[in-house]
Amino acid sequence: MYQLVVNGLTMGCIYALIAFGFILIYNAVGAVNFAQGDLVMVGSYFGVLAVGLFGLDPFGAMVVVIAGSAAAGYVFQRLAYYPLRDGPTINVVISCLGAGIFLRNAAQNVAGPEPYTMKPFFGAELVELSGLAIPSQSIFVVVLTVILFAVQYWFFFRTSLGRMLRATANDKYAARLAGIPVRRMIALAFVISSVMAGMAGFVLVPIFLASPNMGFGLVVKAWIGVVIGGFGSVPGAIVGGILVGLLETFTASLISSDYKDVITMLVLLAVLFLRPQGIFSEPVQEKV
Amino acid sequence: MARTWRITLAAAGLILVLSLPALVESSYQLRLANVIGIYLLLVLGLNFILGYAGQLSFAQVGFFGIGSYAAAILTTDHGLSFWIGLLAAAAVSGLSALLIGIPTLKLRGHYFAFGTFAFGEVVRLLAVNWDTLTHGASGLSGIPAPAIGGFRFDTDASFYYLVVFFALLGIAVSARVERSKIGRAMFAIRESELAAEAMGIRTRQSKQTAFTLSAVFAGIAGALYAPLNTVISPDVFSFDVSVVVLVSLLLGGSGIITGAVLGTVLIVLLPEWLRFLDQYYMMIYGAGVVLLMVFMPQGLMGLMENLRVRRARAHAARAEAAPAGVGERTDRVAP
Amino acid sequence: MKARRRALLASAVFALAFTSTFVADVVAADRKPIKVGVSISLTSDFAISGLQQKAGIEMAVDEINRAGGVPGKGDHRPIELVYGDNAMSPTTAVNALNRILSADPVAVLLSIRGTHVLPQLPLLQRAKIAGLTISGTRKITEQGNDYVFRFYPNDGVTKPILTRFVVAKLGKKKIGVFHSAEDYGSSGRDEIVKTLKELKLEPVAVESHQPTDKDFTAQLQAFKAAGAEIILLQTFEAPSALILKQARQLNLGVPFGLGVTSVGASALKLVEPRDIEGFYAETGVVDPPFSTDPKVRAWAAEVQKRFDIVPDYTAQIDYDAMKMLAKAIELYGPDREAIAQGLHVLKYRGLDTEYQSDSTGNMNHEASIVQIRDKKQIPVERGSMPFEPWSKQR
Repeated sequence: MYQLVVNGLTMGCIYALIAFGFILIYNAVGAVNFAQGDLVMVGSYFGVLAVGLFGLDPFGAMVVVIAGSAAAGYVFQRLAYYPLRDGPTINVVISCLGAGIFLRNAAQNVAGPEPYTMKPFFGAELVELSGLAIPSQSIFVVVLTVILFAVQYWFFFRTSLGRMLRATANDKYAARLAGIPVRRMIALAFVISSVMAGMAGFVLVPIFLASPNMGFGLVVKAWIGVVIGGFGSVPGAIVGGILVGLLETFTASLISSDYKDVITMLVLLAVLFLRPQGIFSEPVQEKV
Repeated sequence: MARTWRITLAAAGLILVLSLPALVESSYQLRLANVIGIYLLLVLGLNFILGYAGQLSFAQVGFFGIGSYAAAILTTDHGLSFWIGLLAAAAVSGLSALLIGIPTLKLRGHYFAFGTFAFGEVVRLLAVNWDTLTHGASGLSGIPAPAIGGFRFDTDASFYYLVVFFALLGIAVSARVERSKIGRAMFAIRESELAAEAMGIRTRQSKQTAFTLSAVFAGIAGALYAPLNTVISPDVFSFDVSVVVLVSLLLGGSGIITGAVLGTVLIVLLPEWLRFLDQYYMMIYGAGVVLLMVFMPQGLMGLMENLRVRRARAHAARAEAAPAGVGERTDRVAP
Repeated sequence: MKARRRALLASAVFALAFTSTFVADVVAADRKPIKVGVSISLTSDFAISGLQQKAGIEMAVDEINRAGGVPGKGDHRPIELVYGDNAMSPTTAVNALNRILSADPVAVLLSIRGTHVLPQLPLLQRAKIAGLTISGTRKITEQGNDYVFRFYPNDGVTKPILTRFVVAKLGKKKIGVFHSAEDYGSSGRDEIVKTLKELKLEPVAVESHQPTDKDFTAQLQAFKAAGAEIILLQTFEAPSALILKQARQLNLGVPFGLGVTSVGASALKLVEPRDIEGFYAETGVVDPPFSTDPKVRAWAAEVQKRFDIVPDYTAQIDYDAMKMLAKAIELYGPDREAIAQGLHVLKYRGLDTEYQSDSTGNMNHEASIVQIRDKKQIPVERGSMPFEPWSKQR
């Protein structure tokens, strides 16, 4: 039973990280980023590169992943979003879709179709905690997620840069009138989003392997989390992501491992039909 | 003058389409033609809900799968005729659209898109897991060719004519809807749902009609796909299909029938022409989608329309500069 | 009005666009080489095995062509490979085969993936061309198709050998079956269950997973709860690696009996030694670098040098298939029908295996048991299943 909680929480944290990045972009530009999963993949490949090719330790590799993901996020928004910033959002959505296809296949062409693996970051595979055997990687994931979200909170609520970013996400036009460099804020949003995705990808590799098409399955779960938590809400994305992780694991174990994906999808549909605004309602109003 | 020219062109095109099997040497090319025809139905279907009514939907693959499985199960497991399978495919898909539409169509833009995405995934997952009905991951094989009386459509050429029939039918229906009051209602919704409501248009109903039409088209496409491939399995009906259909429509020009045709033809044939790119093709495809949205979001037909408009404007500007002759109207072309 | 005009224009565009496909069709003028089609996965996740196939096939063709080609009436004719990429979906595979056929080959080498081969079968029949596959999915030879030849022992050979070994030699009675929820997985499951029934046993638990699943905790714990003494695994390389990893992390304490896909070179790359230490597996042929025959090991080293890939069973068997095809061309001439008939009756000895067709096109009737120690395949046993040779009256 506790095993299920541990597993569910681990996956939940990863989904939460991805969902958070996803919502950040959505709030900033109003578009659903279908390539979020591929940004996760990019992060994991940077990690594999750092550890496999350069032989760095996990912390050194993390630096590489952060730098690499940030760069990727910046380039991504410059090419796939920026030229379309004044047009209809659906164009951005499709552009991101295309960018994702590009990223996936570029990774496959550069690194090959074979999956990569990594040793867990910390020597001891399992850690004994009050009688339970918990994979050390899971502990690392949860701790890292907590730290990252704490940092996010501090950044968004305690720094002026963060406040400016929040203002931009809230209302682009008002922010511009207030003199906030909106273009740079949006770029920043993409960068942060990409870094969060990249970190999620990086910590995943020892558990689940890195491969070019790994993003899709992950991002689908993150989306479900976003809808459950409330589209547009940041705490919603986090809570939703964790809920989906737990839902998945418990459903697989208690109901059926075959149908767990169907059930998760049906939960998504149920939430959409019954309470589309999710747990924490969407703050943005319908623009007339 | 222009009209006669267009009719001649269209007639020539029609003759070409109908005589293609005689002109073409390899069954491979005919097979490509068949694939284009089937995808065209999917794209025309999407054109109703996205092109006309302006709602982004990823449900096409779901309806495609439902239609395909319905037809395949009835013809293979129960020995019924292709035509019954076809009818069932269209009916079940259409019914699904009604059922799914009730809760999803009241959702806003991205929610609706998500809902349709989830629907497509649920269909695929059910196809995998409900093995007593769908044969699970192995899928169905040995799907029989369509037949009328004693004649079987079991050659590439004969099947091609079947596909052409439905493709042309699809184009005709789309054209009819486009001109009709229903079509105009859809266009109004695309421009602004709020304004359409204010004007008294029953937006829910119009969207539902568009959605149902898209489903019926996709269902028929599925019923044709099953005997063409003789095998169907769940992995065919993945999200990627909806993406390809979407890109085809956008490439050609969303909301324009000619655009749907052009886009579909290009999307199916481009990988063939660009074979030499090998494994780099998909990368370029992805980049191409981005470039498409940046430089040509209205698609090829939209681009042509823009050029035509610009030329008309330039023409009008020149005419204005010159004095109007007797009998010539001075208030010229409205772009 | 506009709509109708556009609709008519649409038909014209539709037609005009087709003529451009003529341009795309490349005409190969030179008739001298003998063309052999290759329809495998060169891209996508399935390329993992596709590249192995490619290495094996090209190794064979290299050898043949360096000797001048296939001996025929008077002169030698080189082999020319015509590739098509199946990628992941069956539709792409069918398209690829169609494209290959338009180049007029005398025979085709097909993918290891059963889901690609199955829809290609009617095409083989219609074009009256022999298709040589290395897929183990049983259904392929149950379609009444005279033109498919399977060079890998199907599940009906490998699974009974593994299951009987586990019961008789390892003494396990409580057996769990874990398979991937598609063709390959369910085919294996069925054979295992059938064999158990013959041994008067039943599996204590049967679990499945989606090919893209990453977390298998639920299923693994179900096996533990059911008291399984061993879990027979039938799935692809990537999920297999994760299952083994997670089983160890959970301290499951239950050993695995593995399928060949779990212990080939590319699969072993994904696991750590302790994930898989001591487990037994069935395989159609032992991975070449671990063969007991020094000739085969030398061959493996040569492939690695030439193609920069450690060859596994896939490469070896496709090498054999290509060589046998060349033999058939030599004996029966570069003619589709003759080759197809010939392959039914020809007996051929590959690097390490005897190939002979049974009544449905299965060419390979042997399997081996290996044990994995220190991520190496240690051959343990070798067996074969009896078969009915192909005969004209069936």
